Amino acid sequence: MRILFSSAMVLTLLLLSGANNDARAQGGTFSLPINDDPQIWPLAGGLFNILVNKVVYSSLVRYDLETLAPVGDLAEDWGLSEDGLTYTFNLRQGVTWHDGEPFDAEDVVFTMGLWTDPDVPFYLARNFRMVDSIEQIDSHTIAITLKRAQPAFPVLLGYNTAILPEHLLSGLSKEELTNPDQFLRNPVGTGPYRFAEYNPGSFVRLTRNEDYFAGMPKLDAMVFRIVPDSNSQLALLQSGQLDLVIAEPFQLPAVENNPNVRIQSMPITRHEYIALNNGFAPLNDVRVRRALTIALDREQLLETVFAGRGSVATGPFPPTMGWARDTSIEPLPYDPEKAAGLLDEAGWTLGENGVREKDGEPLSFTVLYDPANQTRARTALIAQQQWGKIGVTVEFETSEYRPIVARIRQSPPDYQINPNYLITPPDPDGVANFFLSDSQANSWAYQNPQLDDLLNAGATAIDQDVRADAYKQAQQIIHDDQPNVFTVFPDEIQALGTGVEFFPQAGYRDALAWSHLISKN
Amino acid sequence: MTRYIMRRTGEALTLILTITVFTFALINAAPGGPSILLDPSIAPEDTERLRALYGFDRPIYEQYGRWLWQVLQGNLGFSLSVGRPVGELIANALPPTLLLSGTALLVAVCVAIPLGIIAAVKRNSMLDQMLTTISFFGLSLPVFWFGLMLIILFSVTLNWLPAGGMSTPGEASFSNVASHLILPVIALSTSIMAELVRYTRSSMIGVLGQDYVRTARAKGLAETPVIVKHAFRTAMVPVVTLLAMLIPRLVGGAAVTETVFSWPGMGRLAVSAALNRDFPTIMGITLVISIIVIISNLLVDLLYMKLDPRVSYT
Repeated sequence: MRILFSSAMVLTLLLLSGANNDARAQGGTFSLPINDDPQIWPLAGGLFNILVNKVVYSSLVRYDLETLAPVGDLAEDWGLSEDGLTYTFNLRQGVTWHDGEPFDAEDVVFTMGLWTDPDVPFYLARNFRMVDSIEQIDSHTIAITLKRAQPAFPVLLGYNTAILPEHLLSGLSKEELTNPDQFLRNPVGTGPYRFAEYNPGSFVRLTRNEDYFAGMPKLDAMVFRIVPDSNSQLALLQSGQLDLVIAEPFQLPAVENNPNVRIQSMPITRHEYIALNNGFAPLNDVRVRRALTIALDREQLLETVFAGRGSVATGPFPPTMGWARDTSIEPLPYDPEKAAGLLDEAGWTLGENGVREKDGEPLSFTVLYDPANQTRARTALIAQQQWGKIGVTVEFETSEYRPIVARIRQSPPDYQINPNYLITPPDPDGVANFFLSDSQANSWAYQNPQLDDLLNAGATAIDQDVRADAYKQAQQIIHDDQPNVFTVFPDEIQALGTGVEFFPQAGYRDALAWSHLISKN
Repeated sequence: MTRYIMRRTGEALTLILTITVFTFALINAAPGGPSILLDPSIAPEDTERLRALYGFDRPIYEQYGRWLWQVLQGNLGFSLSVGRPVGELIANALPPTLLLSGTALLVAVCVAIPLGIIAAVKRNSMLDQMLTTISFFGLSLPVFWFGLMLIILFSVTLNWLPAGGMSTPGEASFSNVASHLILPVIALSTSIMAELVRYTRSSMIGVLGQDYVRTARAKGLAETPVIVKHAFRTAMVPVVTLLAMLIPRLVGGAAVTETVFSWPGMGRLAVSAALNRDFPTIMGITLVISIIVIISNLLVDLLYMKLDPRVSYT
């Protein structure tokens, strides 16, 4: 009896110590900074809001960490009708909302109804303009019919969207949906971490959702701390109060050699460029645009402004769009002499004071930029120096970023030159919209009917090879026309605390959709 | 006295109304508009639709009228970027600011006023010159730089104190908050202290040279009672003026200190609201701070009466 009792004790102790080990391996709090208060409301935009939403809610699809291709999240799988118009999504069974209610097709139909309702303020409404109807087939199957074929549709479904709980929100008026105050006090999702606490100005704390459908989340909690200053973020990381900071390239030297910090560079769907207003003479002359591109040493720009993390841009299609890229296109080589020749050819000849002139007018541009953004400010300075060497005068106009956005979006756009960046869904269709002649997003007033045809073909062809072919030809045209000076495909620089055991290898926007995999030592 | 307070209240209401009209006009004149409409992910064609849904397409006087009507009903509206009632955001941000500013002010007063008196009494001594040098140094330190240096030294290098925030998320105990409070209080009180030392010193020097102080000494009073009982009270009048001028600055939130130390106070809220062009929050903060400033000015005027019997209001 005594032996039996002792064995039972030993077994219990072993089990307990095993459980303890397990708790140590699967526990801890992962903290990351956001610069401002999030709304935790997926219909509203803003990076900080999006990041928290990725953890609290789920989408129909998310992006595979290696290929960035859409894979099931709340959707188990999906199929496409032969005419390419109707997607049928099979939803996961047995998923529950954080309040214990079951998730089903009604939630998806309700949420997509909000996305396509012109009276509901949804910031990504444009991505779902092709949706014609959403139909519930059974409790876990839905059919979405599009107005025209849109092969990028599954990618757009995974782009910063979230499925909302019908049982909590269907009673709200459209006005209340602009500010669902009561719901946001305790937002309910299906994501790996559930809402626990929000102190505006301080932090949002999320705790493990033990019923998460894709497996037990590894951490006890995730905390988004509101830290507006980027230097303070790095200090908090170095003192162990944060686990991840997205570092700006100029901050890298401060943390690179810190033994408490590990740096991880991730290619993301982003490109940096210097926008040229093609509607403004002489930027409507392709020779002038090409001259500006080749007079700028983009290798040097990559090294000095982007800490060498990334690659020189070949156009607007970043390396994350692998299948659609024409890899034979090389960046136009840095060649100030050739640039000078192009300007001569375009009639801009060097005047006595070293500035090029044509018909008595100097070749002079105003570069509009936000001085608070060091990356863009340094790009503007380098462009000014290097373009000055071929006789182009550059003046600066500085402004806060948001007024700049408002000005470049005016029709016609109200700027001449503006260093900027673009983050899009990982499908070329996301970029294409910015280059279509009649698109309001085309804030460089660049028009090319031949390119329009190719981009439209790429956006609608169901066969991926056909799409790839169209996009590759489109890239060649963009390469020839140089509507903008494409500078760099920058990597995202993730500075991780050494306590982090695993963080998904992807840009953090996409990685957070897999936050149940994040673990600490 | 009652008539005086009533007159001041009437003036205050007019002033507050004028301030809100000006602020409303200013934020609408500023380029850009609310950030919720300028998220780069929003398609330009959706921007107009959203503008209408949020009511920003209405004439400005109508928007102001709506805002004022809401305020009269005790509702400051919803923050555009946080999605919470503005009143609640301010109610959340005010206590941290009062804690930080109040502690900083208390530390500054307790340290600076005695130092200022000592500097005045020991005028031109080694000690006085040392205090003068230190306070000039404190006055000229930029807070964002000094704050970061404190963080690098005490948090990153020595790992003694937390680098930011008001508490560790999930454990808001007294000692936890206190440890988070130390660095921002040092950063904030240093500049106040420097100012106060200079003010107290010069005010005290002025008073110590006056006839009644000489008379008190001539009566045979010891130096300490002369300073503490006679000179100190009069010398405090300009210092109280300075403190009164500091209060709005402190209640409005020490924006830079709060930003560097991620302190969830009024300053940080105001900066974030301004950057986001979060109209309802900007208006709410302006209103609340105007009221606090006007009330604190009134209180200071009444305090003068206590300190200096020659002052009276009718």
